[in-house]
Amino acid sequence: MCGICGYYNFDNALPLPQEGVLRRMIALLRHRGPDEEGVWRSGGIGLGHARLAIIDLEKGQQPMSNEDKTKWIVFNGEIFNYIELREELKGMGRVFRTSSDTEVILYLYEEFGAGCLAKLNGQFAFAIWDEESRELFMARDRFGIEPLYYTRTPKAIIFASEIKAILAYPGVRPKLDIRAIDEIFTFWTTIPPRTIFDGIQELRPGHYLVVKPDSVKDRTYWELDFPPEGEYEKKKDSYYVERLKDLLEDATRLRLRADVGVGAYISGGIDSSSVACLAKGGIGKGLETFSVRFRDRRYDEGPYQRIIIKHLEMENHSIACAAKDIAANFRRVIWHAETPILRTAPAPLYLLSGLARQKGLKIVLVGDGADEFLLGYNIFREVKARLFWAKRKASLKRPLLLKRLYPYLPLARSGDASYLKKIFGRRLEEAGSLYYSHILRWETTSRIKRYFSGDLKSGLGDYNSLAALAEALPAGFRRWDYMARAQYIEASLFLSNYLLSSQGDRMAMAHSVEVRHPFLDHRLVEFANRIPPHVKMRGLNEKFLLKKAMAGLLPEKILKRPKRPFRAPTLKPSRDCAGLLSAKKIKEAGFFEPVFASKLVDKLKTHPNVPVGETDSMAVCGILSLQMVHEIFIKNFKAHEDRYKSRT
Amino acid sequence: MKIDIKAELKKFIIDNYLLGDEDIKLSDDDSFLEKGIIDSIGVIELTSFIRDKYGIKIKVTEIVPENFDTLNNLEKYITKKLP
Repeated sequence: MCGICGYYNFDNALPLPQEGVLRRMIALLRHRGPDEEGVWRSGGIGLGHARLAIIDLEKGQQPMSNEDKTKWIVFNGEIFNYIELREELKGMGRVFRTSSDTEVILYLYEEFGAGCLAKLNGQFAFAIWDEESRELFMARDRFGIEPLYYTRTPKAIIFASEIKAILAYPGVRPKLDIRAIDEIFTFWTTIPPRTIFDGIQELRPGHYLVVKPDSVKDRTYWELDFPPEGEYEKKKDSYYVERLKDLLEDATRLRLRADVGVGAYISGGIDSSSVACLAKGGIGKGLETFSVRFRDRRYDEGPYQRIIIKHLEMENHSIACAAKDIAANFRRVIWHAETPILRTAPAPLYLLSGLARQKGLKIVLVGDGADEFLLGYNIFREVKARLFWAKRKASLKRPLLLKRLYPYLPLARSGDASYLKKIFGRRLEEAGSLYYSHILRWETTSRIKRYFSGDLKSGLGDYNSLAALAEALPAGFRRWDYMARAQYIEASLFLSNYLLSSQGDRMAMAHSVEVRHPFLDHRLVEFANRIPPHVKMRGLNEKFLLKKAMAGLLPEKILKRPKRPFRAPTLKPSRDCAGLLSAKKIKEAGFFEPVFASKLVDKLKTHPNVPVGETDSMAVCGILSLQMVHEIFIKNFKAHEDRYKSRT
Repeated sequence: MKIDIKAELKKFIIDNYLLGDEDIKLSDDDSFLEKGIIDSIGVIELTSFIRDKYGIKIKVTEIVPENFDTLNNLEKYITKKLP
């Protein structure tokens, strides 16, 4: 993986940016690519690249051109099937100067235009400049594993892997988008392509952009799809199990391709254990693994990690994370995430990538994607149980299922199921609504909006995040069953914009580590989306097919363990954090009511050992990270840029 | 002097869960969960407070909405448990 950036000025009469502009932009992406830097300029176009050398260490420098220097590419990511594509291109008479995947993309684009994207199996974001047609072509992978952002001015487009590089372009004056704030405090993330920065957009996953002097066209080349309700294919379980296993093996095999070592993260859950197990088979020797331990046992999964480490005889390295480590690193986390976050889980992953890098690893395999597409999340079990209950509301037995959903919640162990009934029985009558699966979660999160400042509330006017989401849904959404809808929402919002970015790419690349996701091989996802939901989740038994596929390969204790989300302790504001939460700073930023924020901090201080409610836990993390985004990127960007440069 | 348990509880709920926001009206029979004042973990926080404040022992089987989900229920429960 790497960092890319660039600009395209449509008006050649304007004074064009000096090379120093590109150098400044690329210098802000050095963590993504510390091995080499390259820039290329011609007329109104400028391309920059920070390289993390993984394939063809000797000759893979970028920006890279074709033979006659009429096309130039900057590329961040990996094309895992580049060897096969290279052979195909050789068969078409193309001659290669390097053994890199970058050159493969360039020639594929020359041969197939935007059609090349359908051939790529990988995680990527790239820009190709065509000197003859004066067209800039930019594309991003199907799930948004690799980031790509851009902003437009009347006469230019500026793009980069991370927003901070765009902010370094002359004349880009950022401000925060209050609609984005409303969306984050509803869904935990913005609705793509919106970002927290007004006027700066992400190129959406599965999209490409064609930029010409007189137009910018945004096109879809791939999107998540499911069969209409009742039209799933019907095959035997054994067929699905075998096919899933074959696809996962192949996806993992392809993701072991590299000219440097590959390791894996393990959580102690089934997904990362499956990947580590198959990777070990592929490598055929010891696999180095990395795991997060928490000093607070409520979050720690160490005992399960030990089982899988012993079973696979892996060499494991772990970090022990405490609440104070989260607070101490929170500012760096936000510098890299570039968005407010409502969970602290990115912080331990920031620390973990530091350890992986320290041990000399540039690539780690992870288990993300299995929960979304093979039905692992509790939210999928919850919607199934609630709908079952909603069909016969008077049933005494059906709500008892709720006790099985969240066994780790204190309330599941206390009293009878009456509290759970009260919590999950809310809005049961809305079973037919578009977002039934997510209503309760969003309702809980939205409570934080009570603390929005009067100015923010009046600025938002009648803006409604839920209505905005309804407009962004694909045409087929209404024809899908409730489970496919829940999966789509989870994958298009939370997976892409939080797990793969704030918690994934950003935290790993902060220490120049690339994460690879076998479960997000598009062939596997397309296959999984055609399997009937009741086959993927048998009753409330989540990831039933994956468990079957891995039976005999993973220990029973891992296969039968109860599902637990990866969570980190609530943020306990350090002195650095507390300053930003002071009434003065809150008032200055203007997003929240100062009095509420101070009371929230006081509450956390006064009752340090009492479990903090979900809403408060999200509120303190969300408000502090929003304050930090404002302070780092809006108020004092130059100072933070200098501080970053002195570190790299 | 008789302690006004309900007033104490109301103050605690408003200070801790609504962070002092008195615009949200809370009547004695309002459900904390339905009003969006307390979430699932907030209930545990509430039981910890009650335990510390009134020095009473709370059995897990007693953590049910009938005891903890409205001001009236809470007052009734605490009064019954106080020595």
